[in-house]
Amino acid sequence: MDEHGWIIIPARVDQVQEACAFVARIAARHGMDDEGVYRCQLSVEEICTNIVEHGYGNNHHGGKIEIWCFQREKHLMIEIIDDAPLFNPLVLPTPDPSAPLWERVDGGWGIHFVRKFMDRVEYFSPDQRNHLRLIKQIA
Amino acid sequence: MEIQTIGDGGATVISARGRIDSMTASRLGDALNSEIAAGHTLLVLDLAGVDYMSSAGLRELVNALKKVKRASGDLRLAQPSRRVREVMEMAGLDTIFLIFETSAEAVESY
Repeated sequence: MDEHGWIIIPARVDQVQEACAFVARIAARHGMDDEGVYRCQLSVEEICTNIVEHGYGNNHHGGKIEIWCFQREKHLMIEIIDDAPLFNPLVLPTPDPSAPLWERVDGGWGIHFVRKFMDRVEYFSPDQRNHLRLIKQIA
Repeated sequence: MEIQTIGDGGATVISARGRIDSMTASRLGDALNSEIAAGHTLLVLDLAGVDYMSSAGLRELVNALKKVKRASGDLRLAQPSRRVREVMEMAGLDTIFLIFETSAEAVESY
C-alpha cells in the first residue's frame, strides 16, 4: 500500500488532537500495530504542542502546522512542517531523568519522549520552514 | 477527561478518567491545585482510568507535587496503566512519586 496523506491544522492546542487522530488513522492503515500507533500519536502531540506553544508562542493569528504521512520501504514517515521562526528542537539538551524533584526542569520532555518512541528524528529547513521528520518502522 | 474527587479518611482521592494531554492537562492541574489551596495536602491521584498521558500531564503532576510538598503534604499515585507508567519511567518520575497498585493502598500509606 502506498497510501499517504496530509493535514493542515491551525496552530492551536485545541487542534492538536486532529493531527494525532489523522496520524493514527494513516499509521493503522499502513499496518502499524497498536503500540506503534500510540507512540506515533504521542510523538505528534508533543511536537505539535511545542510548535504551538514555543514556535508560534501561542499566537493564534494564522499560524498553521502541516503534517505529511507516507510510507518509505518499511518505515512510516511523519513530517511536521511549520512557519514559526526557524528552530531545530533537536539541539536542545536532553533533560535529566535522574534529577531530584527540586532540580527538575520543566521543558524538554516532549522531545525526549519523541526520541525514545521514534526510530529516527530529523530536522531540516530547505525552504525557510521548519521540517521535523519522525521515522518509525512499521512492525 | 473527567475528574472526580472524594475524601477518604484523612486523604483526598482524585480520580481521573480519559486522556491527559496538552488540551486537558491544565484541568488536572486545576483540580490538584484546588485541593491544595483548600488545605487538602494528603493527596492520592487514581490513574486507573487514564489511558494516555503526555508530557503536559506529567508537568502538572510535578508542579502539584512541588506545591503540596511545600505545604508538608504529598501527592501519591495509584494504578497507572502500563503506558502511563512507561512515560513516567522515561521521565524518571517513578523515583520521585510514590506509586501504588491500588488507590486503597495509597490512602493507607498516609
